[in-house]
Amino acid sequence: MRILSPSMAFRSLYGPWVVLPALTLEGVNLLNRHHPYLGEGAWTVDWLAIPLWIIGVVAAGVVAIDVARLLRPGSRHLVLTATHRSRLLLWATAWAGGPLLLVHTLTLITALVAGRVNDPSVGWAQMGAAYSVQCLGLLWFVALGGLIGRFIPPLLAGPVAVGAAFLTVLALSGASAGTPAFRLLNFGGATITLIGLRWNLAYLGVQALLLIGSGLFAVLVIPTVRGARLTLRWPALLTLIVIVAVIASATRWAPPGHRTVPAAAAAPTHCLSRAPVICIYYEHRRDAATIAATLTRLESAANRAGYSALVSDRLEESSRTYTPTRAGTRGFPHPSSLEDTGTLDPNELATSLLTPLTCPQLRDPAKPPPDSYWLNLESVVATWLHLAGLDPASAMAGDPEHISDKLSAQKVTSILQGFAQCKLTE
Amino acid sequence: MQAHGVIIDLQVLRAWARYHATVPAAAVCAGGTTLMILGTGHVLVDIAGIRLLSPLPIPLMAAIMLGFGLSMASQPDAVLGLPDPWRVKAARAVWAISSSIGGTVLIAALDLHVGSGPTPTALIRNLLVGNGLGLLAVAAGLGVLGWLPPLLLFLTAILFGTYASAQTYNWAFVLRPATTASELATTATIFLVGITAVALRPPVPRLTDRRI
Repeated sequence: MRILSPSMAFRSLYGPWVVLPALTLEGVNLLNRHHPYLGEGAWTVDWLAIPLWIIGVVAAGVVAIDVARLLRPGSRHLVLTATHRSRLLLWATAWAGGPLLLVHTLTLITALVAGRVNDPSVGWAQMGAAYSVQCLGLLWFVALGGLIGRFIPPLLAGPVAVGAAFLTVLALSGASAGTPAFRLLNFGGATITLIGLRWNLAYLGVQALLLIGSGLFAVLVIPTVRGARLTLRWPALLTLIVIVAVIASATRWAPPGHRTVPAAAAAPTHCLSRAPVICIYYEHRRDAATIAATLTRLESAANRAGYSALVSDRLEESSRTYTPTRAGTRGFPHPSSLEDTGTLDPNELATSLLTPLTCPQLRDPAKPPPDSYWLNLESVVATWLHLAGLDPASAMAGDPEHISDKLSAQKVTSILQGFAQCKLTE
Repeated sequence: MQAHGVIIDLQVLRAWARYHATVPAAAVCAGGTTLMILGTGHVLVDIAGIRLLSPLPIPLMAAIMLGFGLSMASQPDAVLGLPDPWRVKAARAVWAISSSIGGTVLIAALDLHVGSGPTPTALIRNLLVGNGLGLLAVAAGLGVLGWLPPLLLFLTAILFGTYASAQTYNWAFVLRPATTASELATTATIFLVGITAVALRPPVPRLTDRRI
């Protein structure tokens, strides 16, 4: 069959050409925001989901046009459509979905190789599961476009499919994912590290089942000609109604919980032998030199100036589930300044180290700590930055007058002792 | 009807409208206008679980859709293979410009400016951008894909056009609720290139159907 050949597909269908915007969007996403995900397996997979909804919406529109043209008389496919109509629709869909999967897979491999991901903390199987659901999601959009193209004329099929795909993205993708409800089209898109989390396999499983079931229906259903219109037979229509109802009610019956759930607490293992010892998660090792340089500068400055309360024996990166609690050890999360801008903000790092994360007052949004706590914290951070020869005013958004005052070593010790005992009101 | 030596034959006008995809265009325009009216005062704060760095006013999106819909009206329904004298070229330009003026007047008449929402000028800017890009697709013989350039521009701008301080890059100006002179100049260029392309090159639907 000539329709199988790539040259025939590229000449007669629009679907294969979706690979061009897909390649561009995946490439731009790969390089966007200083590629902070590089090195971390789970984050890499999740990051690659960011442009999937655009690619899906575009693919739905293009495939809708292809299918609409194949099903209507008068098209240049008249000869081809005379026989094996259902097989032609399948090939048209495959010629859109296949290249998209290829692009997504190559992008993932490129990102994993560039980040030297060799021992992901979540494991390869988890990453494979999340990636598979993303691929199913892409194919689902292609199938949705094909379904719409079966009933709408070519010129309107594109806009209608795009509108429908966009609305499904809004309705089924889990805006902000604030509540732990099931969302069929939530494929990820994390912009911060996922260390300390793993994927909820029950969630991914239900996603996969629904995507496969509804996608297969959309690909296989063949409309019947009734007068000048194309319609569905009543069993197919009934099946469609059931599928829509099942998807719409999935938030009620699907397993509760977020798409990602806490993993077992694990301390960082990539440690640098220096004073103090600095430990970072292995998957963040490419940031180790940058973080360690700033940490060493801060610690050395405090040591030289006699601010012993600021000096630690060990500094450890924390995660969503791990916070160091041993005496003499301070923790800091992966700096968001590195994730957002690619440059490390010393103020953020100093603030993280001094924040008493184990205190319950900081975890109760109903009873936030008083202003005096924040003033004390900012003053100690400003003092530390002063000692290290860094300019607090350029790094901090606080009142320039109070952050220019350098606290004495005794005052810093007193404040930090209070923090250690969770006395945040003095 | 005759005025100042110019004859406007309503039958010819009706035939011209029927020859083009005026009905699908009207359907898309109706959708865009409805979205613009219903979306006034509303913003999108996140899409696909990704929180946007700055909220996106829905009317800006609807204006692009309205602009693309207007460009559909220049898509011919059939390939006639007739001669293409300058008067036909001029008629195509007038037809496209008239539909754009209609959309512009509609936005101005609706006057949907609310609070810090997009100004009518910003909506007209987006309409003309969507229209110009759609017309380019029509002129290239890809009328069924006319929605693709404005859609890609707008969605890519949503995803990659804003940076950390909620500012938009210049190429993503379609997200801005107000306009600047340089944006309007860019918009005018896109629109005029689209109009010129449609006027000079007969929109031959290379891969589209004879009947839509």
